[in-house]
Amino acid sequence: MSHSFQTKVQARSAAEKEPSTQPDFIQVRDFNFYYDGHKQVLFDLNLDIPKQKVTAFIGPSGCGKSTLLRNINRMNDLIDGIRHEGDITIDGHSIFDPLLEVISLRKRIGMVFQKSNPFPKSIYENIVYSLRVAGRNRKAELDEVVERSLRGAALWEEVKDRLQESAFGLSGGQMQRLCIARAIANRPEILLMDEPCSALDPIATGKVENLIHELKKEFTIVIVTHNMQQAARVSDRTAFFYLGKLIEYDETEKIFMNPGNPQTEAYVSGRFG
Amino acid sequence: MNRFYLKELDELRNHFLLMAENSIQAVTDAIEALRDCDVGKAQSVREKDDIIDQLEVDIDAEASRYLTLRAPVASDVRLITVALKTSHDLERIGDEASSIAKRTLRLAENASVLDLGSILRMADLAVANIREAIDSLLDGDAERATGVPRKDKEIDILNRENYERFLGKITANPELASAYMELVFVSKSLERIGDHAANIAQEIVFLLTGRDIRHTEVVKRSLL
Repeated sequence: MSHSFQTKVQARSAAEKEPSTQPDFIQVRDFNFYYDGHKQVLFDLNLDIPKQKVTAFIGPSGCGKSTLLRNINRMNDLIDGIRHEGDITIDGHSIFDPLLEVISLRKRIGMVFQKSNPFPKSIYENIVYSLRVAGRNRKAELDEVVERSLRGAALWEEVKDRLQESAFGLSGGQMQRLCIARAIANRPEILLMDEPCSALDPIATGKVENLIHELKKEFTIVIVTHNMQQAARVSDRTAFFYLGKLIEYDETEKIFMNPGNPQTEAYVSGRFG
Repeated sequence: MNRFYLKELDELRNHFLLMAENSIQAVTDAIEALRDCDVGKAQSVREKDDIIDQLEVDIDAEASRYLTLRAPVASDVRLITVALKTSHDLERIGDEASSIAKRTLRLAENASVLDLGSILRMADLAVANIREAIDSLLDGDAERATGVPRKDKEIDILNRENYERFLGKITANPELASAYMELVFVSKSLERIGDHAANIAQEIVFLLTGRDIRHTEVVKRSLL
């Protein structure tokens, strides 16, 4: 065995073990959240989400992981009686700044839901919908966005010859990737994913997970998942929530191999509840 | 569709092959140092054992990480478990080579006048058996690995012959007693290396076929 091969292998391993140098992009500070004005569901949350990494939120149902996710793009604003304390910042700016327009915040954030929800339109029109709403109708630009977004969602090769067909003709996995393509069409900086694979079969799930791995080169991704193996496979950092509290937040490898908190250990090893 | 993390298995396999090559080289160098009374080469074998030890640690870490994060099944999980077990055998082979080198350093003054018996033949067989096990993995040919335990039998026989031979030398030349005792231990190290090669071969049969042939008639018959 040549020495050069050995050196190459060792150097690559060392590089992969380098700690992340990406700055914290989303910061959650002393965050409390209430429904109906007084029913507290999130308690004193503090966590920093790094840029261009995948961060997974895990925990049993009702632990608050989706509530926190939906606070990041202020989707909870649509619910009557909610209130919060503390702050969430993106790139140093509060998302609750009274001068901030929610629309401009949501332009920076793409959202993918548990159930794929394509519009009753063609594949093409699903992608360009938000651009048309913004008054951007130049065909060359729309064509470019469609191809870029579908390529980004690893769907282009499968649908490039039927862009004008209904999105409802796609398989479940393709629909979910179409929704991801739609979410990245406006070039957001952040992708929030709420159980994006829970309705998909294993092969479609594998494709979406591969996609998440690719997309993190460009986007900061936060994913909520009940599937702990999925969190282990796709995320760089994992946050474990229980009863609205952040129990442990660390490198995914640490959370799943040597968690520091007995509650985390019990949850990830299936001894919980 | 290839999952994005499958390259980590390729890395693990590469580290295993690298460790095997280092172990084979250590045994080869240790025996050449003994044969040629080459103190420098013996010292080098001792120093390079750290590389083999580190590869075992790396493989353990990579395998544990993959088991935890990737939930492997079928041949993937067999590769992980086999890598965990055989890396320990390879580490022990490195230790035995280092031990032979240590004894070579002690023998430096006397080595040229000693009768090495079947030690060189044992080393050739042991190295060939490790190589056969590794090549069977590379070629995907489990039959080749299945034959390794039978070939180990010859190493065991040569070790017993060496023992009798060296005891005779000690009786005839009491002034060389300590030197021939070192050779008894060298011979024993080679016999252990042969055992590790047989272990590795059996694990590779499991990796390639899913059949666990340890302690089975397949192995017992091959020893007849």
